[in-house]
Amino acid sequence: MIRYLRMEWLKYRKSRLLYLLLLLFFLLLYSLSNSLLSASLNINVVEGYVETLRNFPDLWFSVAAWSNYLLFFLFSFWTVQIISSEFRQKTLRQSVISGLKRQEFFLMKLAHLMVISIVFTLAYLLVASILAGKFEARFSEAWPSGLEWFFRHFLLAMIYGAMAMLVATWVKSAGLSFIGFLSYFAVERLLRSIIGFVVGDVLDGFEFWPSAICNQLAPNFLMRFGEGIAENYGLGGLWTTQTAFLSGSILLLLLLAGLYQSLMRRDL
Amino acid sequence: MEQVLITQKLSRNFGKLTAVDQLDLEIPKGSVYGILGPNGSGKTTTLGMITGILRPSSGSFEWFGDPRKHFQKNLGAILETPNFYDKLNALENLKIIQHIKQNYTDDLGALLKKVQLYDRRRSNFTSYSLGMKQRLAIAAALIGQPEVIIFDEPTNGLDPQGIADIRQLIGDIAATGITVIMASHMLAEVEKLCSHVAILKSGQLLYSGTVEEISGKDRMVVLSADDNQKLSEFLSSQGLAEEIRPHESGLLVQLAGEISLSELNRRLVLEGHAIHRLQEQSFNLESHFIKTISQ
Repeated sequence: MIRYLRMEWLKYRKSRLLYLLLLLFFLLLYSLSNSLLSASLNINVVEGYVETLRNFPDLWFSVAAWSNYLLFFLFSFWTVQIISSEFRQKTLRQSVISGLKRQEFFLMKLAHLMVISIVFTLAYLLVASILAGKFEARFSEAWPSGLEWFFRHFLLAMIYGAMAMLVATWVKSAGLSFIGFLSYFAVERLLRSIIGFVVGDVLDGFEFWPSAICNQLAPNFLMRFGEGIAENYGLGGLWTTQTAFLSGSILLLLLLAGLYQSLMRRDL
Repeated sequence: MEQVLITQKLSRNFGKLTAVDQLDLEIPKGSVYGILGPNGSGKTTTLGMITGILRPSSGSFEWFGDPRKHFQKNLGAILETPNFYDKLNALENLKIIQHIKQNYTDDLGALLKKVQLYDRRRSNFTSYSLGMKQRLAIAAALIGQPEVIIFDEPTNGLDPQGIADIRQLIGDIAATGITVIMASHMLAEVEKLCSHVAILKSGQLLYSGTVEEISGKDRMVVLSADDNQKLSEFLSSQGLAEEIRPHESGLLVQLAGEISLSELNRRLVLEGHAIHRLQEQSFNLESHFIKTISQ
């Protein structure tokens, strides 16, 4: 694994795009979360609950909700890029004829994905900590819930990354791959409607769609305040941590298996 | 003779198109093996399959006598335009190849000197000319002392100096005993460098053998007379020619049997043909190639 990471580091250490995306993620996450928490000082969005948004453990929620969007748009852009560029510039082809096994390529990108998921998750933790300092949150309450949120964020980043990589192995153009990835949730909604139309209400009780899993890993902060309030805002109930982790892990494994199969079969 | 590569009924389809059709090849160790064919004959697809970047539709191939061996570690290959990481320089790109091959013993500076890229070792790949890219690809192929190096159209798009440089490099590599497999439609290139050739057309193998076998195979003469039509009929009726084709100077005749040129001349004159030209055609891969693919 260290060898794969060294190779990836050699390839991307000079990439301005990576540093730019990370900086953008950090700044936008701070700005958006700060705006929410500052606004909540004046506007009591949910009676009796708003002040908790600025303190742990709810502060993790507040920041993660924004991070979910940013991971979807920024982080996935990078993961599309690292696969698409290898196909588009034919560097994967060159690597394979130089002796790289396709399995090694998969492991190399998996290692890359894990490391940048950790880096983006650390950025999330840092933003939450800075905001906690600004709003004088009680740091004594930050842990162990912080550990749970580290894993939630990490898992979500891995899922978005794996999903984006999978799409990038199917579509040669990075731009089209990214659009394909972004439109996934619309496609999923359409698919659910079609399934409902064709086979009736068989899947009505089924909750574990990829979009639902992603939203449960870093949920909208309103979902923290119970089903009654969440439903008023058109949101479903919050899953238990175990359910979110288990369903997220299964989805991630399925995506990685799909990515592996796609890489094994594709002509270069 | 020991074979480095054996293909058996190797085929590849792209939809309804059969790019390579049941190809059987045996490539001897230490040879310089040319794969010839017009554009679209399946040369690149064949090389793609034997290097692992394309999956065969059917058939199999075996490198170094072991079908399960991770053969790429013992290969170096330059397929079409070399593709390295744009933003990295020559040294960084070669370091990645070293990691891939897990072979860190080569002196990258010496390799770059060998391919005359040392002075540009810190320039980004994107700033290289095509000839420089090809030379970097050769340096990459040489990492880890491979047993076989594969070239696909190595001089395509190069200027005359670039062509001469690459030919020199290929010649130097072949002289070290490394097996070289080279696909090309540049006949002069193959003729100058190769010990063996295979000729493909529409994905099918039309001929394979040594260059010496080809040279000894056909005896060709250029003949012209006052009446070439009558001359052609006489040669056919007397069983003196295996094949007669039009030629810019008259007729190109593949002689049958062991008849000498003086004997042929005597018989033609006795028959009343006014001969303007009777010239033995020296061996030429081009003529053999054209004849093979036009069959």
